[in-house]
Amino acid sequence: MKLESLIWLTWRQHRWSLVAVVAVAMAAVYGLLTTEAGDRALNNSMPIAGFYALMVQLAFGAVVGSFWGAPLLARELEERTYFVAWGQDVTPVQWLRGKLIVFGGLAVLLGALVGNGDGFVGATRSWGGFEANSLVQVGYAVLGLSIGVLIGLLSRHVVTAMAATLVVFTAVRVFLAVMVRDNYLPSDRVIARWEDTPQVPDRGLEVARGFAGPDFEPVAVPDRCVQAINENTCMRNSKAAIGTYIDYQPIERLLLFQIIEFVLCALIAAALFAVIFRLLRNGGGWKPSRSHRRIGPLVPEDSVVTAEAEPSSEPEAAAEPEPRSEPESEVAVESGGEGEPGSGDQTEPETAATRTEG
Amino acid sequence: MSVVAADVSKWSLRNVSFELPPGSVTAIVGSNGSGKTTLLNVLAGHLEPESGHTSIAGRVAYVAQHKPMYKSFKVANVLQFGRRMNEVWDNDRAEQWLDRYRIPRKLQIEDLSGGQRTHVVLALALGSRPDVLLLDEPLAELDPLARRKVVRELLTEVNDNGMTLIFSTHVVAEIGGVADRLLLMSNGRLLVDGETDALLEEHVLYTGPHASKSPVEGPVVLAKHGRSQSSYLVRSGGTRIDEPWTARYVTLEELVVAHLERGQ
Repeated sequence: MKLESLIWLTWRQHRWSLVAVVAVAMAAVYGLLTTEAGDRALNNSMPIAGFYALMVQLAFGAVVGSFWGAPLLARELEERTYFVAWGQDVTPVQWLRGKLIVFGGLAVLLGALVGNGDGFVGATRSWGGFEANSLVQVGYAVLGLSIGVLIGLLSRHVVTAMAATLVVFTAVRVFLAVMVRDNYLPSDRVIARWEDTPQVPDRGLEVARGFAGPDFEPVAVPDRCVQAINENTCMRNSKAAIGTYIDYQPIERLLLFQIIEFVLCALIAAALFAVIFRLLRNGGGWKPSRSHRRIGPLVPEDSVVTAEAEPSSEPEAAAEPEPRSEPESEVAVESGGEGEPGSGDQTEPETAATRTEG
Repeated sequence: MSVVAADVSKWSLRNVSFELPPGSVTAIVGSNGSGKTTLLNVLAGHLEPESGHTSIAGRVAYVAQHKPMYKSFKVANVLQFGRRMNEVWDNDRAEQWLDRYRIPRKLQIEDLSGGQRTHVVLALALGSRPDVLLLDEPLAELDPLARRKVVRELLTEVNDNGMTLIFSTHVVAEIGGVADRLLLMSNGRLLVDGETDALLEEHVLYTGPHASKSPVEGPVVLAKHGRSQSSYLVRSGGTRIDEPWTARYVTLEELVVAHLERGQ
């Protein structure tokens, strides 16, 4: 099916949510770029417009997931318009693919724009501005979209799906930021003897600190030093450590880490999309209509076996008397459509026979 | 073919088997909750049977019971939707249907009445030139005049284009003179499957003196006993009978009701 038709359909069905999200994102981009002051930042303070724009950037993936992803399938299922959507010649898979191309393409584009500034210091790269990056925002947007669509498919209810998408996406983001991100690569370590304090190199990200043993590895603080008034003095006097250390990620790794985060998000999203298409294709209750059905050889053995198996799975069926003496299985009235006067108009001389087997 | 209702440990369809010839008009009749909609959903491919399978030759169009349609679409958009989403699309046919019932093109679907919405959904279904048209209670929201008109038009489509029509209803009056095949369902089972005319010829109502046994050979559909009278509706194939019994053919409505009563 032509992509153009699906683009038309997507626009016709979702134009307001498309317009709204694009408008908010563009406003945020404007805010982020115009308020960036770089080194001229006054008194180290942030313009309020930049702050709001940064909030949009922070929530962008969640917005895409909740407003584009979640209703995509949930609305069709909730309002039962999937009878219309998937009852045409377009298969559900083609239909979803077309819509995801539109939404996904826009999410990537907007994500790249939204991640283009941080509304404050701008060009200065820092760990604090980790998420103010096009790649990272693209990753989040695609991840949000995939989470939203999957939850919409599972919940079949728009409001539930939107709320659940917000919660799940936020949870994933927090988990990534708190638990995972610092450990993409093993950290570097600075160690200082007792006379010194360790210094993190310029703009490095501190990951951990503590006491270092003679082998330069971290050592645990013994109980008596935990209770001591001054832990440092205790550790030094008891010779439990040779000094203190700080683990850090150097600023040079920033871009690499951003790429890793993007790849991670993209991989999760790809996996979720695979699950979505699989659910949509086989089972989930909604089979593509039309295209998959062609009259073909019937396999009576097959269906007889499955029909036989039924009473055993439900005992009452056996007890129930047959309502009619007429044989229920295989009531066949044969067809003969070719001789019909009307069949001449049809493009293909198909016999329109309907048959159902038990 | 059998279907288990979602999340309910209940068979909504069990051991349903039938085969329909092309160009036929089939009515699926049954009481509420007897599985008519489930059967149609399976035939339309929106529901997968637990066991067994369906096969339909050609393209299917399905008009679901609640006449689903995008509320924000204008009527014209629906036609555009049909044209863009189908490989085969007969715009004139859809337009004619809308013209015939004077459906305003500029209104949104949510502003239409239930009956008008039915016409829009029917126009979409017919425009895709289906070989098999499945309608779930298509006439429910139409006025009596429109019902006749729609039925007549649909029959014309069947005759002109060789379309196969399958519709469900629980109003028996709607099938008289329309359906040439009858699928009678009760509790997810197929009670009767046959040609309407043949069924009417087979079923005979025998009335006579009180008797505990049917006076003729054949499966008894329904027996009623009064104080001094008994009546047997027998699928006898028209066996004649002597005095004091009298025999007469039944109406379609009597036939359907008797079977449904027995099926419970």
